[in-house]
This record gives sequence, C-alpha cells and structure tokens, in this order.
Amino acid sequence: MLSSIIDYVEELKDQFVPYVAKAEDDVEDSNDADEDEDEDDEDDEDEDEAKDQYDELKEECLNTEKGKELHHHYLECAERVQKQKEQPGYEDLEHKEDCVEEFFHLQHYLDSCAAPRLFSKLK
Amino acid sequence: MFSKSIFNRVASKAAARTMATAAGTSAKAASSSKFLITGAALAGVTASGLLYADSLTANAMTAAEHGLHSPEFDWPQNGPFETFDHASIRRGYQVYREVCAACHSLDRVAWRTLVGVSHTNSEVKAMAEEFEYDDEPDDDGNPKKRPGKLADNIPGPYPNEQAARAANQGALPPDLSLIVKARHGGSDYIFSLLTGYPEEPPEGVVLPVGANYNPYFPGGSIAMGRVLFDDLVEYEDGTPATTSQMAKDVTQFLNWASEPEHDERKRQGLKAIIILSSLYLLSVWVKKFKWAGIKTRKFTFTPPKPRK
Repeated sequence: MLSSIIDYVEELKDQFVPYVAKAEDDVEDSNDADEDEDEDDEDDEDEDEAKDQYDELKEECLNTEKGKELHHHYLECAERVQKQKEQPGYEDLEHKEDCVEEFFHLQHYLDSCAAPRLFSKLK
Repeated sequence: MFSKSIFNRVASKAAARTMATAAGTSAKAASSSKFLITGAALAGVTASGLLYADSLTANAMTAAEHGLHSPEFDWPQNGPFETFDHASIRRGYQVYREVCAACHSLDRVAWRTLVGVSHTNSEVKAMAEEFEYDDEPDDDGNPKKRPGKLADNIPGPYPNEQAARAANQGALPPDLSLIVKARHGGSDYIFSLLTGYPEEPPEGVVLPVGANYNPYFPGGSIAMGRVLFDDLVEYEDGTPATTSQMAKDVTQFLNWASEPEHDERKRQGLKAIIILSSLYLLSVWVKKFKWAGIKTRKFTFTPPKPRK
C-alpha cells in the first residue's frame, strides 16, 4: 500500500521535475565530459594554424574595445530574456523580447572589422 | 491588453465630445459645418488611435525582417580591369560538386562552358560521362540512356520541384545558376550566408521546427543548415580547406556561373573605351579642318555711299 503510494508520488514527481540521471552515471558523465573537453582543448592548441581565418579575425575584433562593449550589451540582453523566460506565464506574453538587434549590432561591427582583412589571408 | 485600453479611452473621449457638441448645437442654431468638422476630427482621432494601437503590436520593419547586411569583401574580380580567380573557380566547382550538389541544381550551366575556364576539355568530358542522360529510343521504342556529353547541361539532384521539396521538409533548394545575380549583395551575401551561421540563435528567437538561424537571411530562419566545416573537402592544389576558403571558392564559382561573360565583358569594355575615345578625339581633330572655312570667314558690311 505504502510502496504503491510512494511509486505514485515518484511518478508524479517525474512528470514535473526534469529527468536527471542517477548519481553514478552523473559522475561518470562529468568525468567523460571533462576528459573530452581537455582533449578538445589540446586539439585546438595543436591545430591553431588550421583554424578558420574568418573566425580568428572575428575573435580579434571581439576583443577590441568596441567589440567588448557590444558583446556586453548582447550578453546583458540575453540574461534579461533568460530571466523573463523563467517567469511564470512567459508563454502567454503578448510581446516577447528577443536579442536580434543587439546581436546584429555586434555582428555588424565584427563584419566591418574583419571583412576588409579577410581576403588577404585566403588563397 | 494595452491596445484594448487605448481603444476604450479613445472611444469614451469621442463619446464625451459628441455629447458636448450635440448640446451646443441644440442651444444655438444648427450649423452643418460644425458637425462636419467634429465628424472629421472624430474620425481622425479614432483612426490615429487605432493605427497607434496597431503599431504597438505590429511586427514590421524590424532589423530581423530585413536581415543583416553583408560586409564588402575584396573579391578578385573587383575593379575595372580585374578578372575572376580561375584557380578559385576550379576549387569552387569541387566544393559545389562535393557539398552543394547534394541539394542544389545548376540547370543553366552546360558542361562545355567549364572548358578553358576551370578545367581542360578531357577533364570536363570525363566529368560529364559520369552522369546518365536520356537518349533517343531504340528501334522498338524502348527508352535508352547514354553517358553525358560536353553539350549537356549539368544535371540536378532531383527530377522535379516536388521531389526536391519532399526531400527537404517542404523547402525548395534554389537553383544556383544565377543565384549571385538574384540576391541583393551578390557574392558578398552568398559568402556571408555560408560563413554566418552562429553557434546559437540570439536569445529569445523562436525558430520553426527544422529551421536554422542565419542573420543574413531575411527573417533569420532558413531551411538550409550550416554545410561548410573546416577540412570538409580536400583540395587537389593543397590549399587548406577552411570554412571561409571553401565559401570564397564556391562563391567565386557561382559568380562565374551567373556571369560567365564577366572576363570577356571587361576585355570588350576596355577595347570599346579605347576605340571610341580615340575615334572621338580623331573627330574633334577632323572637325577643326571641316569647320576651318566657316570659323575663319568674316562678314563685312560696307554701307552704300550716300548719294549727294
């Protein structure tokens, strides 16, 4: 009797709480992930020369003063929207904010900064 | 909610005004012009109220709707005397064949047009022969197939539009023969589109199922996913196949496909300018002689001597 009630409650809980893997799996997964990330990092360091030229330039531009500022604006917006999403009743909102404009401003700056220098690096 | 409240406010104001004017007119002598003015003012206020309320929710003229403008790149063919980079066209054909051709056709380009542009005659012949084309039926009327010839057009991946849509969740991959001419921004746009897939769409953007985000595509939601990744193809000339290198090459190839006359056009244009300007200068020089007699003549008037 009691066990069936507990099962029922468990089932109910599963309905509402997002599925989380068991603790043991979790540990293994995180270990694996760490290892993977480590490997990836090493790979990146090894293949620095083979990295995409455009991405490299854009990264450089992102680290300029203006790039940092625009990126900051975008992150701020993303955080704001993330918070709005967590509010109850988000789905029913008539107007949902998005960060397209902030993204465009950042991307436009990165483009105008990286594009003129790119083709001299390509064959 | 907001639009409704505004509408109510506008309506109640309007009602109050009509009552006031109605009282005024009963007291004084009725003047029809007053009614007209009040009516016009009411209609104006209501219309602007409605328009304003609509503008609060309308989703038009946003940056996302128009897409991000692509920057300008230093294409090899920029400038009045520059031609396409033909080594790049050759690499671009390889990218098209190995990546794009899985979904996109190139209907208007014949194999023969590649000869002398990016490949040699025998190379193109061998490429064409890898494809099968419909042949004349045999004596019994059975349809036959034959290997491709130089005169054939490059075959597409799908037999018809319906097949193309069915294979791509309803989205039709456009034919690429004239794509560079068919899009605002031309080569710059194609290059930006191919390299511009962000890892994640901007926060808050909701995409339809199966759609991908690309800021350069008007509306942002594009059916084609990112296809170019580093080292996807192996170039025969040893060029490192980074994403932007492949995007540049395939865009150069598509630009050539759209404007195969490009190099010749610039050559002809230069010839035309040289010939026409020298003929013009010649005509200016000749004109001097043709007009010499007229320009140097002199009119004189000697009045008759008055009779005495």
